Amino acid sequence: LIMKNNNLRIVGVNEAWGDLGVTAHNLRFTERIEVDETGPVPALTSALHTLLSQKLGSSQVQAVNEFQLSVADSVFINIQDDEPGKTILLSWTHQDEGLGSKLLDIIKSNYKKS
Amino acid sequence: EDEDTISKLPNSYPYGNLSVDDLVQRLAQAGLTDARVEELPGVCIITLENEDVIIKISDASTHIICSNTKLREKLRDILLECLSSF
Repeated sequence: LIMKNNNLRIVGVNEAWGDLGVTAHNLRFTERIEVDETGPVPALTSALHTLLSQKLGSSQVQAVNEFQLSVADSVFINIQDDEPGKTILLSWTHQDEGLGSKLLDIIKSNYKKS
Repeated sequence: EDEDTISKLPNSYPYGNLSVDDLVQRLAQAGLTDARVEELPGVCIITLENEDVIIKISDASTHIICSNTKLREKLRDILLECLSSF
């Protein structure tokens, strides 16, 4: 909602930046989640793909490659081989805090590190 | 499917540049006193070795990389205090 010259207008966030003459500061977070999975990286990527598709709806989750997924085109998940286990890197922006923390909860509750 | 419960809207829209000095000072006030600051062309990297945290700051963006949710939320709140927002 922008008030300018005594007029009220409702504009999208991206348009509002221009009107206000300021630059958005983009905040991104990445959390590392260590897991005990010992199989190959593509197997964990595929298992995560299945799990998240069940929780969020399959249209939301895309496989980028054998070690990367994206969710709703804005949250990225990278899987790294970290002998003996794996590290899942979950990355999202401040704008996607709700989705990011939800994914974090899902991954943490399904892949606990002993 | 509980897709509807996901809120896509953040509670604030931060803008402007971040002062690294201000941030380091606020981190210290919060008890995070081991910040190591590296100034590279176009990017500043703050490392909190004891907490396993890396903060990358450039003109219009900041990236926090860590392994602890509580600490991340604390760092986010400190960062938002350093930035203007609406």
